[in-house]
Parts: sequence; structure tokens; C-alpha cells
Amino acid sequence: MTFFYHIFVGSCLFIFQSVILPYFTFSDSFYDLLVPFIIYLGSYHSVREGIPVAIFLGFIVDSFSGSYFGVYITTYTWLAISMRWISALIDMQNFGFLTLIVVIGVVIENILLFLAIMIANPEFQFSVFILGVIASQIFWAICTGPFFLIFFNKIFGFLKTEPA
Amino acid sequence: MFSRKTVILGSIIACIILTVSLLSFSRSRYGSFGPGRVAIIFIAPLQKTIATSSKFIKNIWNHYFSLVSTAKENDRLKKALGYADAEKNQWREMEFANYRLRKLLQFVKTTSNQVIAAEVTGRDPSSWFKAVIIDKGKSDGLKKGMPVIIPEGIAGHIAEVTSDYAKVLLIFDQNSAIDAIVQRTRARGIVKGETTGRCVLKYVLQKHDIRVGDVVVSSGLDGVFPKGLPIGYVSNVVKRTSGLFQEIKVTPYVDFDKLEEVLVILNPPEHDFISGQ
Repeated sequence: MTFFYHIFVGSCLFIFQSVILPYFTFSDSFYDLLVPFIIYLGSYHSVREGIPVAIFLGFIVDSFSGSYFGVYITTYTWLAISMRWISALIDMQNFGFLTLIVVIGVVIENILLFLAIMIANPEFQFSVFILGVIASQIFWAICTGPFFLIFFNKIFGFLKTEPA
Repeated sequence: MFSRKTVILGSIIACIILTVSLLSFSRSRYGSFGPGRVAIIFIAPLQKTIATSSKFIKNIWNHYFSLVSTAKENDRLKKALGYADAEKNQWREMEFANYRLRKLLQFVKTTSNQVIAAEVTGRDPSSWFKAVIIDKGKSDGLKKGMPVIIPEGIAGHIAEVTSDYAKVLLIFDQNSAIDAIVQRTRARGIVKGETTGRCVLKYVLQKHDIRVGDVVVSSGLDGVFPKGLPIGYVSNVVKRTSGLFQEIKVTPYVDFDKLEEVLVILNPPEHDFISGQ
């Protein structure tokens, strides 16, 4: 049941990101909304619960994106695994650490994506434009990321305590 | 001594005389009667207080009911305004859609290719890859590799196709490449996408005279895009002293942020890549 709930929330986020968000001018420099969700899965849930959802969401994004197939499956899986490890080291109740972990998540995602791009296209070069977009993503992650984490956690906690 | 009848009659007469006398007296001294002023001094403030209070209460009472009805009316008017706004917006959207579709239709009439119109339903969630989802698929005759265009120029090509939807890889995605020529000089090269939202024209030899503003069109040699479709214009040219090729930036004609409807060419030039699907 938890798996389907997470799949549902992740799919809603994906639809919002691919249909609604492009209407906003800042959408090109906004970070991947599934990153805080994967961080939430990796940090607050067991590997058995988090990884299958991360793989499934990676599969959805890979299917819709212009990326090489498997890029997002790999990225989200590694993101969930690394977040599981990082969350064990920091206090997940602290707002500052929540902000930090989202920023780390956004950076890890971009590193993995660019690694994939560089493997496929050896001529690829970093530019000021790319660094500007990443800086903008980090800015948005700092401003909104922790709230997403808190929101996901609260909603799930609320649903878990609701009598059937 | 006097009978009861006489006393009553006398009292009535005395009252009448007193009344007439008082009336006569007060009429002659109007406005300067001392005890009257004292009464006014003491009573009037109370009167005023009560009058004001009652007026206040009356006003509150009236306004309460008035406000209730005003609030209801306000709600009704707001609702009506909301409907009117939504309708107006709908009309405006229809007007814009009508304009775009007319433009597409005009383009369809002028092109010799067999095309099908499709609507963009979703965009790539990533900042680094550029693709869109359209609402036409295999059931409409779409195949992988088919060119996707709009009146302004080439938008991309079909990268994935399902029965009812297809994924279009846009020309400014880094995985996209189109065999192109510069219209003025006929210099040939490959237009490749970049993460910056622009394209580069690669493999154009140094000897060719390429200028900013030159139009870049498809060469038709890649077997995907028909010859002569506009791609974009040259926005920057760098000629280095070393190296074989020039560095040419191309700005696509298509505004990908505003991409809503596209045309898919159903009879592209035959090629192994397409026939193999």
C-alpha cells in the first residue's frame, strides 16, 4: 500500500513538473521536483521501500525525457542510496540540515546527469550558462526544498495514523 | 358646605382658567422661561444620548440586514464576474488558438508534404534534455524518426511512439542533429543542439563566408527532414586561426517555450532508419 501511495505522489509531482511548471518563466532553472521526494524516500524509509519507488519514478522520467534511457533510473537509485547513507549521519529534524540535504541531492543529481552526458558525448563542455542554471536550481532548492521534505513526511505520517 | 357636584364643576372651571392663563403667560414669555432651560439643560443630553444610541442601534440593525443582502449580492456579482472572466479568457484562448491553427492551416496548404497536426501535452521534466509529448501516435500513422515542424521551421523529430502519443526530440536537445546548409552560401554542416537552448552549426569549413543573420535550412541529405525547411539563423560566428572548422551558433526560428501545436510530416524522404522501424 505504501508503495502505491509513493508511486501516486511521485506521479502527481511528475505531472505537475511536466505540465504545470513549464507555464512559469522560472521553470527552466527550477530543480527536479522529484529530487526532494527521492530524498524523502531515501531518508525516511527503508531501502526495501525507497529503491523500488525510485526505480519506478526513474523509469517514468526516462520514458518522457529526451535523455538516454536509464539515466534517470540510475540517478534516482543512486540518489536514494546516497541519501539513506547521508541521512544516517545528520539530524533529520534540523531545518538547516534538511536544506543542506536537498542541496546535496540537487548537486548529486546534476553530477550524475552530467557524467551520463559526458560519457555519451565526449565533446561536451561546461559553460557559464550551465553553471548559472545549477546555481539557480540550488537557490530554489534552498528556498523550497526543506518544505517539500517536511510536507511529504507530515502527509505520510498523517495517512499512517489515520484509522482505516 | 358645597355639594360634590359643585366642587367638580368648580375644579374644572379653575383648571380651564389656569390653563388659559398659563398658555397666555407662556405665549407672552416664549424663549426666556428659566425652568424650561434648566429642563433642557438636563434632559437634552440624555435625549441626545438615547437618540444617538437608538439611531446607532437602528443603523446597526438596518446595516446588518443591509450587509447581509449586500454580501449576498456581492457574492453573486463576484461569481458572475468570475464566470465572465473565465468566459473572456476562454474566448481569448480560442482567439489565439484560432490564429495559430489558421497559420498552421495556411502552412499545410502551401506545403507539398502530407502532414498531421498534433498538440503538445507535456514537456521534458529535465533542464538538460529537451523533448515534448504530442497527442498523436501509431494509430494516426506516426513512426519513429518522422520530422516535426511548425510554420516557423523545424521543431524536431519523433523519438518514441506509442499507439496514441509520441515523444518529440527537439532540435536544441544535445542528442539532436540535422544535416543543414547555409541558404546564402550553400555551405554544408550539421546543426546540433546545445544545453544553452541554442544550436551549433558544426563542420563548416573555414573557407566559407558565413555571416550573422544567414538563414540555415535543412539539406535533406540526412533522409529525415525534407530539403529547404528553415532551422534558424546564424547568431554568432567565430573563425579561429587554427583548426579546420568555424564555430557557428544558430538560433532556432521556433520559440520552444511557446510550442503548443505542431505538424508531423507523414511522408518524409525514404531512409533506412525510418523504414527499419
